[in-house]
Amino acid sequence: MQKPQSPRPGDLVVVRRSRWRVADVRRYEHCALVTLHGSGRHDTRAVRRVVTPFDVIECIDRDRRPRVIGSRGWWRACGTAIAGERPARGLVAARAAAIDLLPYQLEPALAVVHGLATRLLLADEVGLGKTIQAALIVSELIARGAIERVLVLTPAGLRDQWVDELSRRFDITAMRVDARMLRRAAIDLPIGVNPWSTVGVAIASLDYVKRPEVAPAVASVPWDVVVVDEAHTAAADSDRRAAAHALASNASYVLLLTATPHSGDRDRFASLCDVGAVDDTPLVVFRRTRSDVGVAGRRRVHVVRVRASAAERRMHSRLLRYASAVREERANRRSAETLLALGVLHKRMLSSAWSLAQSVERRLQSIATEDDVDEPAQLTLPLADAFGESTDADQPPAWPSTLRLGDRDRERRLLTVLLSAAREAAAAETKLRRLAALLRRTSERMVVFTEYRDTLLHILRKIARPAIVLHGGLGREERADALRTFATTPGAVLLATDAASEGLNLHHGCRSVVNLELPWNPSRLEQRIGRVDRIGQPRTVHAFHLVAATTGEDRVLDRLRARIAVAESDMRAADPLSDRTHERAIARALLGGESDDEDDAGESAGGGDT
Amino acid sequence: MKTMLVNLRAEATREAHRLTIARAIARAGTRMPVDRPVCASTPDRGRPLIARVRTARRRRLLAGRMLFIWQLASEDAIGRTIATSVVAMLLRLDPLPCGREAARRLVDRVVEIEARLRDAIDAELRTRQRELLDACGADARSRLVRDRAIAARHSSSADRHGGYQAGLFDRRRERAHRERAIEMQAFDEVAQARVHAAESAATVSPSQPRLLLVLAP
Repeated sequence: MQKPQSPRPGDLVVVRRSRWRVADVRRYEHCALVTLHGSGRHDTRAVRRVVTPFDVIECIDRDRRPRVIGSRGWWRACGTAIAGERPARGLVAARAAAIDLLPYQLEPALAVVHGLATRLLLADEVGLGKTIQAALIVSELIARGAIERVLVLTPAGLRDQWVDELSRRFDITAMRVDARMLRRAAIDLPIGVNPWSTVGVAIASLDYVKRPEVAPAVASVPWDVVVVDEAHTAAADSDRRAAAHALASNASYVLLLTATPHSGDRDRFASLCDVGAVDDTPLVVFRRTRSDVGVAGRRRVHVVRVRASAAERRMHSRLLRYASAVREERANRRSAETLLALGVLHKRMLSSAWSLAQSVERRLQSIATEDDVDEPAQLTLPLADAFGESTDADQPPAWPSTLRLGDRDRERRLLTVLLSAAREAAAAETKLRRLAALLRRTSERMVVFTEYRDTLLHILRKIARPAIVLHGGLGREERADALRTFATTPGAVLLATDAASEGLNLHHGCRSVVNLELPWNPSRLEQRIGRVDRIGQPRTVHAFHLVAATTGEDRVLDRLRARIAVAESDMRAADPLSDRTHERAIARALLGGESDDEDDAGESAGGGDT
Repeated sequence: MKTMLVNLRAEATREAHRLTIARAIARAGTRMPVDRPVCASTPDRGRPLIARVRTARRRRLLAGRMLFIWQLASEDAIGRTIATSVVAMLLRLDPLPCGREAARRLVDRVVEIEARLRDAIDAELRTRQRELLDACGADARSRLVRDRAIAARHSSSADRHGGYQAGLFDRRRERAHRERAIEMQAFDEVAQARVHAAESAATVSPSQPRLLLVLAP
């Protein structure tokens, strides 16, 4: 006889004319929230939550009298009982997760279960499965009934990857929350209901969440877990950091994920470690290398020194001439900013002569139209990108206000000469010739990285192989299409900028990365190679750094090596060097190669005092 | 900035081993490929299941004893199962019934044993139960510390105690202040509810051992 009863976990029940097994019961003053798992043959993975007494739950069988069954059924039940054991200090969800059981990936979840951590920094090397580790913690907490609302903040390009990983591996239904979804939800929901509060596991872009019109609605939801993916982007004094901290400091659990937590700047690292801190409880850090966990893959790094052509050397000397004119004039005023601005111009040159020509051309136009500087006059509304899908981080920076001469005619003359030299060099760039030679040597898929979108589009016009572009200006569908095409086209070349490729898994069928220019931040270099050097990469990974030897890029390489060494040691012992120091030092090295020891010493001392 | 490194390598290796075995056991007898994980299943909280051994080898192994498999469990204050442990027990008993209605008489015997030996069994399992209890709730306790810190931060935040000057003719600041106060109260309620939930989860108690399976010779 079926009759309404108070259900208990494990009971077989009938709800809405279907059979379910009760997984969890939470009793409140006047009602109970009951979690049900599908009990039929075809819906064992279905999960429903109902509220009694509003939903009628009929217990099917509460007779406790033993039952004699056949031997086979008994052994099956015995297996279920043993396999379904829930040890107090063990993991519940990992058994059913579609993951390989690698011990090091279980450690963070065990730390949470053992009560050692509520705020974690997962800082394993690139490609060791930080997403899986974070998802394992989330699924474990969900399985224990400890959490209900999860917010994953990630770069826009990784939202679909998160949704897919959570669903495919952990059977967690996550929802990508963006302007489009919220707009749809706002139409369906009653007035006054916050759409964010209707989502259990929300995957959103940090850049979208930080927007002033979005942030209050997100912050008003009591998130149990906040995951910040690629957390190094939320370090230092930035809007991203402020948004991530505001959300994380109200969450019961905080997970920060980054393979490159430390880029040589101690203050940045400290600000990252403080995201979500509410008391003295320390941040629990997991930092494992591939050799630590015994999955060291083979990686070969090739520094390909490219000898600049006569036209490129001429362009370089013209740029130095312009730089020295600016430095002479602004010797006593804001010299550090001038140095940085000149450094950026050099960076553009090292990326491609074409991109330098673009910048110089824009500057000449602004001089001709009597605009002092081509900087944006006011903050722009995000009208062009209402859904928060694109980024401008790979667009060339505006011409800095510190980079100009008092004598306009002289500046025009210098820049005109520089522009013609850059155009001449762009006609036959040696780096592109070298890239073409590299591409001729193999028919494998390759990823070519550059910092700037205009360089990327320039390469696209120059190379002969089938090429796919991936930059910050692409929308979600375009990005997905690009990645799909790359994965299915034999011998394809993916031309990507850092801004668009962060966190992507490109190691299936691709093992070579070419860096057209060296980024000044070592973290970026590691992130680039990490796209193909990941767990599951069966072959030796090749990373090619194209270094223009006679235009000062070899000195950038030296600085990078030094900075990587500092970052490595700083994870254990503090030895700070700030980004600005580093970039200024690179800029100084590029602008004539004089020694930078004095300045570095000064900065280090300053850093130590603070 | 306070950071801490924890080394759980040994525990993680043990746990991976345990999970591998659990996956293999759950997969045994099915045609699922080895690399495919099994679906999570809720332990059957229905009736105890009894079977009689069919092979001579197993009968020899039992040597006239009955195998009882019990489940120990810990529950939190809202009745959720936090942890379970399976304990096997061999009991030597009088010869079991056979012939007609043997099954019914076997069931009666198990019911009688369960009722008669309940205290002895409870005493036998008490140590295991205590071990299970001690290991439970560590995660909830650490969460409770953080939730309390969040609640305390809210209640002492500068926004709450900051004064404001109401305008003589313009009510906008007054309205903004009122809205802020409502928002603060909502935050407070959420924070307190969380602390309450974490306290409930951290309060762990044992539930009565439950007979799952019986194997009779």
